[in-house]
Amino acid sequence: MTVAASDTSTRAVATRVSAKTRRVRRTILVWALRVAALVVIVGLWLYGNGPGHVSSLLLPSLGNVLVFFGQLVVSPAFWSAAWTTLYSMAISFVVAAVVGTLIGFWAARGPLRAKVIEPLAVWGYMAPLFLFYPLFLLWFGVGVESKITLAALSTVFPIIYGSLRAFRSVDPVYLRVARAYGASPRQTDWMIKLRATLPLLGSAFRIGAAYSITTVLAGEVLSSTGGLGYILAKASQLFNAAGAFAILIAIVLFVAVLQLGLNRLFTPRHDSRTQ
Amino acid sequence: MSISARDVGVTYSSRSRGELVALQDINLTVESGEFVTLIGPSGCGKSTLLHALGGLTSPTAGEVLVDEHRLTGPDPRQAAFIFQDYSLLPWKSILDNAAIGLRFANVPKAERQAKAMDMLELVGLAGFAKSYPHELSGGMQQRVAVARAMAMEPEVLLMDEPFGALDEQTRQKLGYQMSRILTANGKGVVMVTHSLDEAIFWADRIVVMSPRPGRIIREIVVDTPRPRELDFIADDGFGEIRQELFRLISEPVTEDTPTVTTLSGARP
Repeated sequence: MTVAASDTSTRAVATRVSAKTRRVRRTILVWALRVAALVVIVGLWLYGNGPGHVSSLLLPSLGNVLVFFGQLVVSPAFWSAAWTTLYSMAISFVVAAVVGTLIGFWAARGPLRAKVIEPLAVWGYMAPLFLFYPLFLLWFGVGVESKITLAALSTVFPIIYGSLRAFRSVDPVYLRVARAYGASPRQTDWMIKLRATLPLLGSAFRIGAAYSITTVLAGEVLSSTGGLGYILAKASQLFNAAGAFAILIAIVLFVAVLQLGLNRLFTPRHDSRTQ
Repeated sequence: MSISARDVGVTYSSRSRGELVALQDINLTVESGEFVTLIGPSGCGKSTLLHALGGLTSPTAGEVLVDEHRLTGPDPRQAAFIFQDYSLLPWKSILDNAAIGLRFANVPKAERQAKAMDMLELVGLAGFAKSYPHELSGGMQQRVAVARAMAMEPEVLLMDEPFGALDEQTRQKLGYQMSRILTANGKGVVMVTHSLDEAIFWADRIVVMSPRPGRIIREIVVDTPRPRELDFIADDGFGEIRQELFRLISEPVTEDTPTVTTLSGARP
């Protein structure tokens, strides 16, 4: 019986090897181009500082920015601000993810519910909910609470929308297997539906996380008592352009690390199909 | 054990096309250990009948009895399904896929994995227990589906064109191997197929169905003992049955199907 398989699997191994070298070459090229892009940016920056004569308020000298950056990453104030921001994002995201997934799951269980909830979710997704920020400041004060609540509100809609879509599009083939092999309704929900939706649910979570990150940071910049957005706003109010650039770079790195972690977390390994 | 359909009918109603009678007046009994093949023109309700026999579809008329008890839903310990599209769960390993029915029945992990491993060995895939479905060829995936069904130790396997998605060679080879395994294990089989050769090669009894509304128009007994060798296909008796089946299936169809004139008229 394995004889039938050996021929095709040898061929599969051969193509896999050449595919692997191709993939490695591709990765090297991609990284080389990324480094080149970075070199171009640094080059333009240095040109602006030197021969370009750009005002140091618009474009502070790269050396100064790096000095500030070096001081920033060793200062406890920066880390406590980063912690405040991370904490606000995490709470708002987790609350929105749980609530959004539950609402999406509930709404996907009937065509009527889906019809009612879906346009609401789309509206909440598209509307600039950030305009509610002044009201949230009024209700919850300038502390972390106003950022957490507004970020949770902004995040919950893309997650409702995405999870509603995900749960409605579970492949009927899996549901048939569940039924034919005696799964209880609860087993079908947890072991089949939830698992089958993970790839789509993961992308809903990634979009939601981006909303949470943007809302928290923007809220901190506009009015707050702490967080990365707060120290950024303070630096620019003091005309410390180099310091503001250093903080911006730190925030970009912070968000990049966060996104990388979320991508790892929400991209399931075995979701490719050959059927 | 026996599964029997008594005056079973299935009617689908949809808003756009009105009522659609898929099956009508079906009476059929399948004993455990018996191989029955269902054959008929496409759209004749073969799959619907198979689903009804396993409890996946509820008849709108009549009833399906398992040992005199009315069937209300699928019970994989009595009749386990094997589908044409394999329908393995892509996120589960081959071992976990083979054990899925036992998992649903809350069989302890060690026990269900041991059982699933035995079944993978039976179909020659023990070395792939840790692989994932997308790493296997179609024929191998279908063997996993057979292992998954066998792990439930059912009396009867309900197979819906199990080799339909495979190429001709794999189809013949796998069909031959599977018929031997199932015969050796004393399983009963109900198999839907559109291949005349497959229908005869597998069957103790061939059930021939008419175009929609699906009715049983003929039952043909094949009395050559199983397991059969591949050269049974070259046998005289085989040829006779094949001719008879061909005649039954390609008979002029009723007036509710599109006529040839409209087809040729549409040609430019």
